[in-house]
Amino acid sequence: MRLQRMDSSHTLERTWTEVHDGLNNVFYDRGMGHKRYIELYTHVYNYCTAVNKPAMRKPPMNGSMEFVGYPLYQLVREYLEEYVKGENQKARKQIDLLEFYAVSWSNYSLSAKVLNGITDDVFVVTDLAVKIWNEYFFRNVSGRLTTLLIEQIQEERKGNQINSSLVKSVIDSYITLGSAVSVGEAKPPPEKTLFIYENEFVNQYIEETVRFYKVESRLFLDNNPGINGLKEFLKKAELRLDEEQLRSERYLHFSSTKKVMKECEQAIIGDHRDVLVSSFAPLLDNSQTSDLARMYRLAKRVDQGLTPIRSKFEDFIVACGMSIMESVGTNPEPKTFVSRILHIYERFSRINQICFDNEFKEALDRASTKFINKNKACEEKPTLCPELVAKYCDSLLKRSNKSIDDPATEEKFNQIMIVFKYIEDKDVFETHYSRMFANRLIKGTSGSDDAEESILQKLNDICGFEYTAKLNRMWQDINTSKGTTEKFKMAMQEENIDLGIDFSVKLLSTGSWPLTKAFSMELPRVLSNSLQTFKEHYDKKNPRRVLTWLCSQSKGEITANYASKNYVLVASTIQMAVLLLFNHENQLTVAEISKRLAVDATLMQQVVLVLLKHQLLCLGPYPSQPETEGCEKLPGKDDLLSYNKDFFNKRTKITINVTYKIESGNQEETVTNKNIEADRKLLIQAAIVRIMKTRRQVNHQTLMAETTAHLSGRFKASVQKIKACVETLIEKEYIERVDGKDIYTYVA
Amino acid sequence: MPGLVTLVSQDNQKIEVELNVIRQSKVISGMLQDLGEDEDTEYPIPNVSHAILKKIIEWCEEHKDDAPIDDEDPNYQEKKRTQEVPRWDAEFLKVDQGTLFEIILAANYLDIGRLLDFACMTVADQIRGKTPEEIRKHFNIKNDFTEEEMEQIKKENEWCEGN
Repeated sequence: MRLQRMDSSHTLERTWTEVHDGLNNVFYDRGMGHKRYIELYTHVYNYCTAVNKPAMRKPPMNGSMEFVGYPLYQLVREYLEEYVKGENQKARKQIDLLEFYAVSWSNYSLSAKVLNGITDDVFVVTDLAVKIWNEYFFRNVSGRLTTLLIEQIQEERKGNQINSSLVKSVIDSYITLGSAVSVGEAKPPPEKTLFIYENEFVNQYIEETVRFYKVESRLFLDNNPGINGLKEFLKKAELRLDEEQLRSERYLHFSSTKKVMKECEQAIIGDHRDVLVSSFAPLLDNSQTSDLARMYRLAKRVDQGLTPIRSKFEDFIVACGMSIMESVGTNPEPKTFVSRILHIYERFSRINQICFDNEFKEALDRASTKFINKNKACEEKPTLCPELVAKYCDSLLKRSNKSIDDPATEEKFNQIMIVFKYIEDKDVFETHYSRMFANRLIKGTSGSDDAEESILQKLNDICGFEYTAKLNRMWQDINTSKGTTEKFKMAMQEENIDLGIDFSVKLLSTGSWPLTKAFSMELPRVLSNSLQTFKEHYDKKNPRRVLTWLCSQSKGEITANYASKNYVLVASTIQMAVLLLFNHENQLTVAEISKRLAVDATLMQQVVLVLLKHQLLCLGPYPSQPETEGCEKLPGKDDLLSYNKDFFNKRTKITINVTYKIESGNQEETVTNKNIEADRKLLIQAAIVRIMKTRRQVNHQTLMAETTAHLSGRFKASVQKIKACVETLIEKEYIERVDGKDIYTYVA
Repeated sequence: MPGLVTLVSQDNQKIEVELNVIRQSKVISGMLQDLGEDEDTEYPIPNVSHAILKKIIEWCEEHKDDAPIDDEDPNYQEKKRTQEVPRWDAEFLKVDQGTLFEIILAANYLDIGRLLDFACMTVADQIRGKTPEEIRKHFNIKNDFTEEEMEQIKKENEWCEGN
């Protein structure tokens, strides 16, 4: 808003005389009081508001020169031009142009600011002043200034002291110069104001910086060869980049920092990436963590810098893993096997965390999966790894592990789970684990309920509910069985029935347990009585459930009363049955025993062999000496057996059902592996059908890929096996092959 | 007292005022920025009379704690368009025509944005709802149109009058 004052005393001449004086004060004497300031302002104000020609009242816009106060503005412009030309003239005679320019610029900007204050609200002079400076001074010396600036900064890089505030103020003038606009022009966006600074300075600055570091880095590497040279180089590189970062922040406009740093990083690191990468493995080999961390930080700064290092890291872990796994041999101890794996994993996991910000976790995962599943030990027997891990769990969970409730054991479980995560054939683990779990539960050899539950929970966390469903069921069965037995005993007490023996049952649901009925037998009356009573009791409550007795899994304790001493024998059901026969007979043939118990004679031969080994029975009629040597051989079916009246053992409680189990151990494993194969076929087929059902039509490649992906949580399905399953499904008419093409369709 | 300066009006009368109060004048605050503060100097205000300067200072005292305004801020511009003159300021500006005009001139000269706005709004409120003849009377303006010009204008604006 301009308000006019109808006052003719404020003529151009009068005003200019005053203002000219004032300008001299400001520009040459560098002195101006507050009083003088307000007076000058009033002069300019009054001059501009006194003009009453309508044509000149327009506000400054569209670049028009016809605005209020224009004649005064022109005079100020001429004044400034003269002044700046004078400065330019003086500059020619200066030895130290940089210094002169910096001082001159600083004075000029200050004066221009005061001038702008005086003419405030009337017209803006700052931009005009800057433009004049550019045109009559800066433009003539910018080339020399830039060279001088860069020279100074190079001096600083070489470690020499420079006047950094001087350098900074000159560079700032480049930035300010770009921001000036002519009267009436719109203010340009900030990124457009930097053209002078960028064209006249930054581009050249970057060029020289890159040249400097290229030369320096090359020389350093040439003079310091080898791994130690590289370590020093890394330190120097980091130092240099930090310096350069600070330097950029100190001298340059913030918009250039990123670009400058990128160029520096390329010159110092990017150009020598090969050297870095080639020394990575040696550093890793010696676990030089601080050097590795430094290399990581540096490589991360350049584009694609981490890629080669990441793959080196992965390769190195695989190589390390393979060689360590080779050292365990083909039939390793479960504990050794697992701890070797963990040793490698933890070594590199630690390096990954402290040196690489955990950035290489995926590479570590890939490498671990590879060396855990594809090592020398597993080549002989592909299921070895999951089996060994399951066995290791078993050994930790058994009562024989005295430290089972230690926090250290829990930590071991956590470590096992690390290995478990990398196992590809998780189904194999489950099968083996389930078999050993069943054994622990049935025989009551588990060391701790908490530990068992903790493992189940961990497996559940990693693989989901489905994976642990059967295991959880087994766990439940055992817990319910305790209650069932308890209730049965109470019922017996209430009904005043005495079974004559202490009796407990475990109710195992069909399908969840990896058990089959191995054989059936006629039970001795003392046992079958209890069984019958329990069955009646149970059927009343659960009429629809069928009970099948697994005699091969049960055991009991019997007391043997000898003349010299009484013994408690912990025996399997069949062993008990055999021994009980000798309550009434002194001698029997193997064939006779098997007939009486309704058991296969071949099986009976094995049972008897164990009893012979324990010297409870002896071959031939008593009192022939028990033959210890002949015990390795199976007794013939018609061999006569008699009970050993002179049985002697140091201990009172003897477990005799142990050896029997071990003999069948290997066989059990073979069966287990067969079961795994059968289960897998079904899983593969189920996966294929599921995919076909949603996709309807799918080509061979996709089907293979999707099936593999589908099953990856359980095991790694081979293409061959999937193909075989596809054939089976075609035969069963679940899917069809489209004629002459590799495409399958789902048959609903 | 610290922070006090002396202003010298057109008619050479001195008024003491707190620096912080008079900073609302952008001319003064700009000067203090450029030259630094100097309490001993007397600041001449050659364009403003003692009476008006006293009014201006009175206004500044009242508004010394207001948040500084930002002319570039579109929100402020919008607020300026719709806002009414606050009660205190309306009361303050209830003065005769001559004084109001002097206040406007002084506010413009010293660059006190808000005071200038309020004063101009007061004038605008006086114009609102008045016929040209009433406006002329109110501001004591002579009608310098000729009869023909009047006819011409009436004809051009026929469409918006009458109904």
